Amino acid sequence: MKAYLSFLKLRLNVGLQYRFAAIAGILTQFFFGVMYLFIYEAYYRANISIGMEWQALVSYLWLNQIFFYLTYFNLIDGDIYDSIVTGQVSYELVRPLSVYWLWYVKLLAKKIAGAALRFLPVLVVAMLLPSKYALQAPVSVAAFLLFLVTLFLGVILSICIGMIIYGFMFYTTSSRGLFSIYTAIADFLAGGTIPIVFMPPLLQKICYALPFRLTIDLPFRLYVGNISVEEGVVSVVKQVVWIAITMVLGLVLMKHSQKKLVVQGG
Amino acid sequence: MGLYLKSIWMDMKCELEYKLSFVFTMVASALSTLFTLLGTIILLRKFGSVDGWTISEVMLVTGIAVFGHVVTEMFGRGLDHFYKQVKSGLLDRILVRPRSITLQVLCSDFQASKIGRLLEAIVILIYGIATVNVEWSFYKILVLIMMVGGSAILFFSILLLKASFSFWTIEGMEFMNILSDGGRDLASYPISIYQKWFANIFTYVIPFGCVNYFPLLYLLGKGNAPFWYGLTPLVTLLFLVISFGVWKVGLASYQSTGS
Repeated sequence: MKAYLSFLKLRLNVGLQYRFAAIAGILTQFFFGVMYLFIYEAYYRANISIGMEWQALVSYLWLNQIFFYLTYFNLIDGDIYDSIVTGQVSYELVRPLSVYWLWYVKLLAKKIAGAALRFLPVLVVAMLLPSKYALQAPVSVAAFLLFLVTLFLGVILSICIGMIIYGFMFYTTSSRGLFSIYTAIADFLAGGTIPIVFMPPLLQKICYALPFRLTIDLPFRLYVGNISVEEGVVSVVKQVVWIAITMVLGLVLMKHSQKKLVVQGG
Repeated sequence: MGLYLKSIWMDMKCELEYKLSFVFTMVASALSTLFTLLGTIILLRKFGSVDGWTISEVMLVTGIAVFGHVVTEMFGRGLDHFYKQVKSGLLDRILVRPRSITLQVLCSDFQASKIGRLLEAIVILIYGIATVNVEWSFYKILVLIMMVGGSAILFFSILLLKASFSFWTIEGMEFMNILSDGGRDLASYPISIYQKWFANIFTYVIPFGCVNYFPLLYLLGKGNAPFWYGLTPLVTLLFLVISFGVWKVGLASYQSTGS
């Protein structure tokens, strides 16, 4: 455990080095936030009542941009990817530590460090905007606490799922596009492209049956009060169950693939 | 030109060597556009229209934006990654060769795997053209061609600017993606749906409005749009000339970095 913790600390430090990338990221998030606000504003001019009030939608969109680095499903890590492709991974395999947990911690650290550098400026600006476009306070203390819990568990869950994809990467030498395919699908089904409440009923059912929405849709809609606290508590249980399932799957897959692993070259 | 075609052919052969990887990458790039598009269609069906624009009109505009973006991504990838060549000093190798530098940079990477996205763009365009309420004439067809071409020229100029900036700084180049990738999403709606100041920036500074708003007004005959609105896509040529100027200035002031 101690080894993984110090590894987490190390990777956090590495992640915090990339300040210029972070500034560019902040500007990008801010730009997209403003753009989406204007697009939805144009839609809302039609004055048709649909699943979400304007102010709730504004907060949802801002939260999506503020925590983008944390919740986005793209988990490609250059180091890990290269280590699999170049065979460097063999060095990690001979260490007396589990590769699964080593990578897990690495991905978690990358997300936390990246988000820590980015979230505050966008958050502050989003709160200071004219009230029509500003991020509102959470609906209640209970909702806010549940938001924090579900956001954290959501990130844990998304990495668990990501680790399953990494497990598959051992089986194929052409894994470049594999992650991008997964990212595109997961992001849409999680409510990252458009909020799930806007989708047609059938698509909503599909989204609710899958775990992806527990990362984006659930915490953000809890915050704005679009999901009740009671439903939120039930969803926490759902998150824990999904985490357990995907973690076991990932571990089994990783173990199985390592047994068959052939390192090429010398 | 012959040299460029040969280079494209070689790049394609390279990519096709890894067949499964090629398929994966192609599907991936097509999927992300597909889901963005699906989102737009869902919203348009839910709300009926956006700021008075129908689904056909938005699809036509989206098709123009995605087409222009993907074509430059396919052919201009070398510019997109140009800052890496500056950083590594690889540019020096290009400079000493007795061929056009711009051509060599363009030749450095051709992305055949974007073909899925290109097909998508064409399908959206055809859908938009087929369903939009326009009385086509010879001039209007010409305007449409200028809109599509102007979009490609605009995205190409943006990539050229991005590459030029790497002569002065190689930090934070991701920022320029706001204009290329962000520009595609932004220009997927007629520019008039945005707040005035925002729309003004993307009409008078970066002329997206000249590709997807003024000429569209003329095509649809909305608000008595005058004849010359159809010619506004030509403004992108001016933007291209300026970008090319910046590129040349950058090249002239280049001092090697690598070792």
